[in-house]
Amino acid sequence: MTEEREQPPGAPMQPTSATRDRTSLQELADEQLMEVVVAGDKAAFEVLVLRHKVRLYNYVLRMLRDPTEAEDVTQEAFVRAYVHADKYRNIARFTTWLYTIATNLVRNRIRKGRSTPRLVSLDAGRTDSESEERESLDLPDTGDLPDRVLEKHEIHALVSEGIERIPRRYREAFVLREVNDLSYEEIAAITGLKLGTVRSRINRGRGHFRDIMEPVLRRMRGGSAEGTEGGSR
Amino acid sequence: MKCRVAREWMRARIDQSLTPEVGGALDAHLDSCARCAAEARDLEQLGGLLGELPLAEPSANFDWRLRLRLSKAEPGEVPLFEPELRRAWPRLEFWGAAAAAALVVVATGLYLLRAPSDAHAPRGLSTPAVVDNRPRPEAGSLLTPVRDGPLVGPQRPVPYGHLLFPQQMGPPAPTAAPDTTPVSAPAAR
Repeated sequence: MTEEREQPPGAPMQPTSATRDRTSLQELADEQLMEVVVAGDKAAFEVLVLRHKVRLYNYVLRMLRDPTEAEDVTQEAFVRAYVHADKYRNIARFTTWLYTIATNLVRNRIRKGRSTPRLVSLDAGRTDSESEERESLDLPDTGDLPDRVLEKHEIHALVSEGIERIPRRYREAFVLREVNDLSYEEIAAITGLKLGTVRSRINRGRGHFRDIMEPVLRRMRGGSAEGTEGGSR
Repeated sequence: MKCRVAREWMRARIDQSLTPEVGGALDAHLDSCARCAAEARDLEQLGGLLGELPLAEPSANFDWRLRLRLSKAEPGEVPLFEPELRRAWPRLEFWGAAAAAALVVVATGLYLLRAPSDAHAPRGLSTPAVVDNRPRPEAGSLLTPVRDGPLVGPQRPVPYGHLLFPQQMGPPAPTAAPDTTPVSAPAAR
C-alpha cells in the first residue's frame, strides 16, 4: 500500500496488488478476504475497507457525534484490524471483530474526552454527560408555521439528532441494532454484554428514542389530536 | 393481556421474532387499548424513519489518509485492544467506599467512647459511669423501687408535678397540730 501514497487526496481506494484482480477479491466473503490479507495480499484489505467503512463510520459518528473524531477512530479501527490481521480467528464474523475494535476505541475516546469540550456537536453547548442524564424533548422548532409539513431532509436531521440524544448507555446497542442492522448475538459479542442486557438496552433505547421523537411524530401526524395519546407510555 | 406484555411483544414484532399466534393476540390487544395502539404506531413509524435515514459519508480524503496510516503502521506499534479506561473506576469506587466505611466506623467508635452514660454528668472521656446497683423489680411486678426509701405500693407520679404550685398538688399530708400556745405568756391557771 505504500506505493499508493502518491495518489491525490480524494482518490478512491484501489487495489494495488497484481496477484488478484479486484473483481475476484470482491467475490470473496469477509472472512476469506482476511485469510488472503494474512497471506500477504494487501489489496484484499482495501476491499474490506471499501465494504465496511461507511457503516462503521456511521456507527462511530452516532457515538462520538463529531465527524472528524469519528473518521479518526474509524481509520484507527481499520489500522488495528490490518496490523493485527494474524490474530483474527475465523470463529467470529469479520464485522463482529471490526466493530469490537471500534467499540473499544470509541469507549476509550469518550472517557478520555469527557472533560474536553466538543468541537462540533449537534447540541453544542451541552456536555455529553448532561445529555445522558436527561431526555431531550426540546427538539428545535422547525418553522413559524406549526402545521407546515416537514421536509425529508429536516426529518433526517431530526432523526439523527434524536439518535444522538439517546443516553449513551443505550445508544451503543440501539445504533448497532437499528442503524447497522446487526443481530442481538453480534451486538452481545461486540459490546461484551449478556444477551439479555443487550435486549434490555435496545428496548430502553427505543423507548428513549420514541420519547425524544414524540414532537416530530406529532408534527408528522399533522396535528396535536393524535399526539396527546401518543405521549403516554 | 397486560400492556407491559404487549409492549414486549411490540418490540419483538420489530425484530420479526413474533410467532403468528402471539401476533394475533397482540393485534387483539391493540384493537382494545388506545395507548398501546398509539405506541405500536409510533414504533412502526420510527422504524420507518430509521430505515430511511441516509448513511453519512466520510470525507473525500478518508481513503487517502487511511492508506497513509496503513503504510506507516507497524504490528508492535498499536495494541489490538486498549485496556478500557472504565476498569480503573470500579477500583477507585471500591477504595472510596472502603475509606468511607472506615471513616464511619472510626467516627462511631469515637462517639460511643465520648458519649456519657448519665445525661447530667460532665462530658469527657474520664467521666465515671454511674451504676445503679440497687435491686430491680422483676418484670411485671407491681412494686416499683423508690429512691432512698423502702419498697412501697404502686405510686403514680403526678405528670409535670414539678411545675405545679403546692395548692394544686392536692391536700397537704396530715401533720401534727401546731402549738399555738404563746411562748412568752404564762399558762392560765
